[in-house]
Amino acid sequence: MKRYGWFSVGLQALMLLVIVGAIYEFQMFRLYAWEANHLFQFDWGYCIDTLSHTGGAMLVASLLTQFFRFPWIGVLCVLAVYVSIFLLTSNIFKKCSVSSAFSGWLWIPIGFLFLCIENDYYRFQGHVTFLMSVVGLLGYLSIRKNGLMYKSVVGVFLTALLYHLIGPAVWIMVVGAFLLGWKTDKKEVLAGVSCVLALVVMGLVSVELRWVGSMEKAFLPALYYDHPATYFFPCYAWISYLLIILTGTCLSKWANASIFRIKTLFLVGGISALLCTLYIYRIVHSPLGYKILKEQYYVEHGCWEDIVQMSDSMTRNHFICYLHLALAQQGKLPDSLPHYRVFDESELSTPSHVKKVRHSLLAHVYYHWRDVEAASDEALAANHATPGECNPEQLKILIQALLVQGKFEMAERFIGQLEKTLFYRAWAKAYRPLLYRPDAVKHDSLLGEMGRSIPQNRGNQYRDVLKQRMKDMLDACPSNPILEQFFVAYMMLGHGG
Amino acid sequence: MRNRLFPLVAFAVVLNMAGCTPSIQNVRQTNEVVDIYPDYKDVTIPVNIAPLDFEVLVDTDSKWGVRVIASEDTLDYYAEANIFSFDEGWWKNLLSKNAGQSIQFVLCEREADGWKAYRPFSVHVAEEIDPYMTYRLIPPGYSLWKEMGIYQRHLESFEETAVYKNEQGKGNCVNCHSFCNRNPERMLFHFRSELAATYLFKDGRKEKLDTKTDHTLSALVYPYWHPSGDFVAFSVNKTFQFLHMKDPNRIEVCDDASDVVVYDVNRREVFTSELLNSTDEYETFPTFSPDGKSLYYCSAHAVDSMPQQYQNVKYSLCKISFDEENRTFGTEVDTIYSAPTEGRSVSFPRLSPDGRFLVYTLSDYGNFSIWHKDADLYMVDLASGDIQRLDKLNSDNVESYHSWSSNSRWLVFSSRRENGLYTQPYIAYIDENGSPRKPFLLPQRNPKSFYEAQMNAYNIPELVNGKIEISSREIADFAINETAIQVK
Repeated sequence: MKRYGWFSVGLQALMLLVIVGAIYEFQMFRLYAWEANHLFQFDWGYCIDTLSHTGGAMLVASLLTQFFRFPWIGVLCVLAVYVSIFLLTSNIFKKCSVSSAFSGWLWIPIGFLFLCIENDYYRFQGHVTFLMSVVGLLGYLSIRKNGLMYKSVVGVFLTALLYHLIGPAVWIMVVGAFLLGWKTDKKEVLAGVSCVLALVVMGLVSVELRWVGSMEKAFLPALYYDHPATYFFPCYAWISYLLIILTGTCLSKWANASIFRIKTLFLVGGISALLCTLYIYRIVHSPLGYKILKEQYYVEHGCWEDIVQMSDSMTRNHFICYLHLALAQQGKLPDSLPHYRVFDESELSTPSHVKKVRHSLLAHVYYHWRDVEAASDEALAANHATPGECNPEQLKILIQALLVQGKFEMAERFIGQLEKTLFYRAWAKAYRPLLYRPDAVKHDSLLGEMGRSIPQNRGNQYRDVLKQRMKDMLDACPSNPILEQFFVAYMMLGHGG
Repeated sequence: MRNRLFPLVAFAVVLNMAGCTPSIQNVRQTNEVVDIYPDYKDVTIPVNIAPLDFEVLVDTDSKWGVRVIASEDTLDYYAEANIFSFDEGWWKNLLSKNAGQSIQFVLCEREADGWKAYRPFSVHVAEEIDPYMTYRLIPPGYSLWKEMGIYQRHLESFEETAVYKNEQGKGNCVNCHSFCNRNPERMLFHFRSELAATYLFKDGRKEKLDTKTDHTLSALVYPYWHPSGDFVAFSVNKTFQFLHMKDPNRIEVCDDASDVVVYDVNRREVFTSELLNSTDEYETFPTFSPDGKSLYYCSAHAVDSMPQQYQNVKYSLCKISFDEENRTFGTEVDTIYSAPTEGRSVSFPRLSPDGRFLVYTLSDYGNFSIWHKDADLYMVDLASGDIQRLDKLNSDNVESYHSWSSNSRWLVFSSRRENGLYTQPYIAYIDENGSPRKPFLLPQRNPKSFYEAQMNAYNIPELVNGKIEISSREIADFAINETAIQVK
C-alpha cells in the first residue's frame, strides 16, 4: 500500500464505481428474468437433494438470487463477489510472492464475468462458482505442512469435494494450483498434477455413474447445464484469470524491480480491462438480447411508448407479445396499427432453446385475456421447462387458473411449493383458504371474473383458431375489456375475414 | 485406551436411553380412525416388497407409535415427526415369516399417562412380485419436454436407477419401453426427435432400427412382444393432439389413421394382414396372448373428419389368430368387446401370463385414456367370459396403463387419483378367482414429501423379472454412434 499510495487506491475506486454503476444500470433490465427462474425453497428435502447432485453448491446462489427483487441487494451481492475475487486473489499473489502489481489486472476477468449479460440467475450462479474455485485455490495454497505427500492428498480431497460442489469450474483451482506450485517450488508441481488427475477421475466417475450427463458437461466449464447447477461460465473470464496468474508468476521479479514498473503494470492492467470490456462487449453481448431485456423492463413499467420506439421486426414475436401485455395493462391500442401485426399463436416459431419463453409469454397473454384453460396449459409447460420447476411467475398463473377450474388437488400441490419460498409464501397462503371451496372461488373478485370468462357450452370446442376462441370468450363474457381490445385490433389488422 | 473408551461408551448409551421413547404401555383402546398417507390400510402386499413407510396425517406434536402384531411377533415401532420408517432387514424378516397371513398394525398416540390406540388395520402378505418395475418419468405436459428418462425401481428396496436419461443423449424423447415376458435381456424402446429410432436389445445383441417404411403410416409404436421373442407387434399411427377449451379432459390425442403390424425380429421385416390395416378402421394397441397364438388389438370405425368427430371414435376389443411358423394371420376377427354395442371405448388390453384374465382400460371414447378422467379398469375372465369392473382398483380419476406380474397375481397400473395430473403407480393383487384386492401406492421413504416433490408422472409401469444391466452410458453411446438399420 505504501508503495502505491493514492494512485492505485484512486484507480481501484474508479473501477469500483464504474462496475457498481454498470451493474445497477443493467440490473434494472434484467430483474424481470429473476422471477422466471426457479426459486430457493425452504425445505430440507430440497436442500439435501440439491447438495447431493454435482454442482449442488448452487444452493447458495439460489438462496441469494431470491433477494434480487430488491435491486440494490442484487447489486451488492454481485459486487461482493467481485471484490471477494479480487481480494482473495491478491492474497494468493501475496502467498506466492507474485507482484501485487498484477492485482490491477484482475479487473479483466471480473469485467468478463460482468459482461456475461445473460439470465441473471444463471449468471450469478457462475459468479458464485468462480468465487468458490478461487476460495479452493487459496485453501490449497494455505496448507501449511510442506510434505509433498500430505499436500497431494489434501489437494486431491479438496479437488474431489469442490468438483462435487461446483462441477468443472474447479479447473480454476486445479490449474491455478499447478501454475503457482511451479512458481514456488518445482516439486510442488507434482502436487498440482495430482489435483489434475483427481479432477479427471472425478469427471469420468461422474459420467459413468450418471451424476453428470456427458463428458462435455463433466469437463468443460462453459455453460454448465445440469440440474440443479446451471451456470454461465464465460471462458474469457477464467482463461484470462489463469493467464494473469501465469503472467504474474513469470514476470514477478521484473515487476518488483521499481515502483515505476509497478505503476505501469497497474495502469496497463486497468486500461486493458477497459478496452477489453468495450471490445468484447460487442462480441459477447448480443444487442438483440439487450433489446429484449429492455423491452421486458418497459413492459413491467408500462412504458409502452418506449416499446413502440424499440420496434424491430427481427424480434417481432417477443416484441409483439410484450406490446400486447403493455397495451393490456395500459388499456390502450397502438396508434399506428398497420405497423404492428397482431400475432397468431400458430405463427409463433421460436428456436427450441426459447420454448420456455414462448410458453411463458403465452401464459401471460392468455392470463390477461382471462382464457383460463389456455393460461394453465401454457403456465404448466413453462414451469416444466424451468430447471428445478419452481417458476413463481408461472406457478401464480397456474394456481389461479386451477382454482377457477375447480382442480383443487392440483392447485394444492403448487400452493405447497410456493409456500416453501420466502417471497411467495404469503401469496400462496392467501389462496389456500380457497381450496375445495368453489363458492369462495366464485366470490373472489379476480377469480370470479376469470371464471365468468369461460364459455359455458361444451361440444367440439378445441383451440386451434385464435379468432374463434376470442369470439367465444367475448360471447361468454362481454365485459372483458382487454380481450375486446385485442379482438378489435385483430379484426382491424386484416384478420377479420 | 480401554479406560478412556468405557466412560465414553457408557455416556453414549445413557444418552441414547435418555432420548428413547417409552414403550407402548397403558394402552387405551378406542375405535377412532386416523388417516395415514399412503393409505396402506387393509391392503395386500407381496412378500418381497420394500417397507411400507407411511405418515400419520394429524397436525399435532404428539408422539406416535405402532404396535405390529404378527403371527409370532409383536413389536413396537416409533415415528419420527409422524413418519414411520421401517428398517429394511426387519421388514423383510417380518414379511417372510408371515407369508400368506395378515399383519395387524395398531397406531398409538402418546398421552399424558399412556397411549391411545386407534382402530387397527391389517396388511395381508401374499405371493412374490417381480423384483423390478420399469417406468418412464416425464413431466405431465403436452408439447414440451426437457428431462425425461426410463428408470427401474427395485421393488424389494427403495433403490431407483436410471436405465436411460435423455440428457445423456441429445435431449431426445424416449418412450414405449417394452419387455418380452418381463425379461430384462429382451427389451426395446423408441427415441423421438434427436437420435430417432427403435432400439432393440435381445440376449446381448443391440440394434438401432429405422422403422419407417414406404408401406406403413409411420414409424412403429405401441410395441408388444411375442412370447417367443421372435416377433413384436406394433401399431403405426397418424396421431395428433389438441387442447380443449372447456372440458375436464384437458387434452385429446387422436389417431387420424392407424394399423397393426408385426415386426419379425430375425428377418427385420414388417408384415401384416388386410384385416389389420383397413382404411375403414383404426387398429391399434396390439397384444399377443401368452401362448403366442392370438393377437388382441383395439379397432374403431374410421370417421369422416377429425378432430371434429373425435367423440365418435370408440374402440372395440378384437382378436385374430396368429401362426408364428408361417407368419400368417387368421381370416376371421373375433370381437371380445363391441364398442358400437356397448357404447364405450377400449384401450391397453393386457392378458395375464397364465392366459386366464384380460384387463383393459375403458373410457367414453378415444384411445389415449391417460387424459380421460372417466377411464377405468375392467377385467375379462377368459374362461367364463365374465366381465367385471375392477371397482377396488378404480377411482374418480384416471386409471389407465397396466401390466401383469410373471405369476399373474399382481397388476401394476397408472392412476391419477391423487391430484388428477401426476400419474402414480399402484399395485393390486388379483387372486386365482379374479377377485381384486385394495391396491397400494409404490412405497417410498418419507412418502408424503417424496410424492409432493415429485414433478414427474410415472408413465408405462412395467414389471420386470430382473435388473436391466446395460448402462445408460452404453445406451447413449450406442444411440449416438450407431447408424440405424432400415427395416423392410
